[in-house]
Amino acid sequence: MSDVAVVRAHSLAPDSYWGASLGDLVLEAAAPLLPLVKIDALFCAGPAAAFAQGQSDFAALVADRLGIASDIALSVDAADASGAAALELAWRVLRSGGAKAALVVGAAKVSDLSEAERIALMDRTLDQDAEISAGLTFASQAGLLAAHYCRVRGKDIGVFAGTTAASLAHWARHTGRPAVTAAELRRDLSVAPPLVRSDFAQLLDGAAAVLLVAGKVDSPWKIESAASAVDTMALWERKDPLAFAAVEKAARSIGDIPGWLEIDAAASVVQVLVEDAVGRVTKTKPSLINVRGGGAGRGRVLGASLLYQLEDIVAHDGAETSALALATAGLGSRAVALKLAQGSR
Amino acid sequence: MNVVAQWRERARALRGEYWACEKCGRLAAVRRATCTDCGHTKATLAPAPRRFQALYASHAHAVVETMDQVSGRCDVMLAKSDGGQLFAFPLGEADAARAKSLEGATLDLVLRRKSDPLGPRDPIAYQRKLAASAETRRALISKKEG
Repeated sequence: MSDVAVVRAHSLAPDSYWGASLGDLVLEAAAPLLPLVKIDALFCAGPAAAFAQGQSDFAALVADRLGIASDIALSVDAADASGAAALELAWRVLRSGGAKAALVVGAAKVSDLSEAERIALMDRTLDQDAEISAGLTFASQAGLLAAHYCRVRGKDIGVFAGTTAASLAHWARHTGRPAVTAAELRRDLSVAPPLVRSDFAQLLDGAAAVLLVAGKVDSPWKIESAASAVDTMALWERKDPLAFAAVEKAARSIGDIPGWLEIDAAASVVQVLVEDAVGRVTKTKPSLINVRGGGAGRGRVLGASLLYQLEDIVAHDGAETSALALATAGLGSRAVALKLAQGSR
Repeated sequence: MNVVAQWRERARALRGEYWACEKCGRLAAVRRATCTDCGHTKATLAPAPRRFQALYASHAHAVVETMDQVSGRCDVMLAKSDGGQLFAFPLGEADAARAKSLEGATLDLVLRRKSDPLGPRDPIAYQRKLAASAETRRALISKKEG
């Protein structure tokens, strides 16, 4: 089995790119990586493309725009964990010798959609037969999950604002913007009681690309291991809706878990439950979570969030030498975990 | 609206049936190869419970950029059956305004019109919702007035 090194990651800051198409975003994000090495595998995550742009076969679109004629060009759909699943797949192919260099691309162009359609995008991550047809939505389920968590675990509702405020504090330090306190967040507009607007990460346009190579190369970071797991899609039909069993299973498969966690969460309640699930494995509190604020700070690019978090990890110049990046989809029905470790710079 | 899906599910939806595990009795809205609780492989259609204890209410009026706070408001209730299984259902329109005060009350599983916007050629669709009985509503009004 080969080592898998991160050669470089590059992204566009999540925002509303009114003047750019989905293909334009992909090109902007991936262009700096194209001259670095010959790419023979392409893994693409664009779970919003079919809904927002009517575009199927996202990988073919990416290959076309980037001028890549690789043997492998695949689209990966794992809802909002698509980018994470694409990274895991690339890691598995590279370490098994199926390719020498892989480009992983994640992108979404949601400013083509109305606000209601963006909300419907998150509803697509749920079980359409068991949940959506029954009149349940992503946001309303998140609200019920948060209320259930507080009642069962005896927690105050402030735990969610506290989680978001901590992420926003990291984001503020990174960007120089003013931080927002938990008390201020609690006064935000209520959208799915007990959750408020800031409990949900904003969906934005963006694209990110990561270049990985197999073998021992002069690169400071490598993907040491990756694992994923799925759970019952319908939240209230799981054995324990608060357990986030998929996250726990993926984390257990990783082995030694670092103290630095990067968590891609669509809502604060998801982040709290991911932290709980990882905590059941490590039995300790993490020393660092979301070094640059994660999705709560920068906003989320559906399907590309773990690519952004990988970029945060490799760009961070702290003392930590390993990190665990976690992504979930559909209120915990899927989890993907990636462990990154630093060698010599 | 997906008319074919409505037609496919009509009989089961109208009767309020769920898939019940033949071993542990756990109910599921959809067919699965194995029970999510005990892993047993056989399930049969069974009537859903008709009464639930309401636990917590929420909704999802997330259309905030236009400040349209009530459009698409989806009032929901997490509820527990006698057997202790958790279910989430939309609330009937008549009870949406008093959702918080219904927490702890016993609610009935009822068929109500689906709140999806209907096109002029769409059939009227129904779905399962929770609703307070006339006694529960009267009790809430008395409590408020008293």
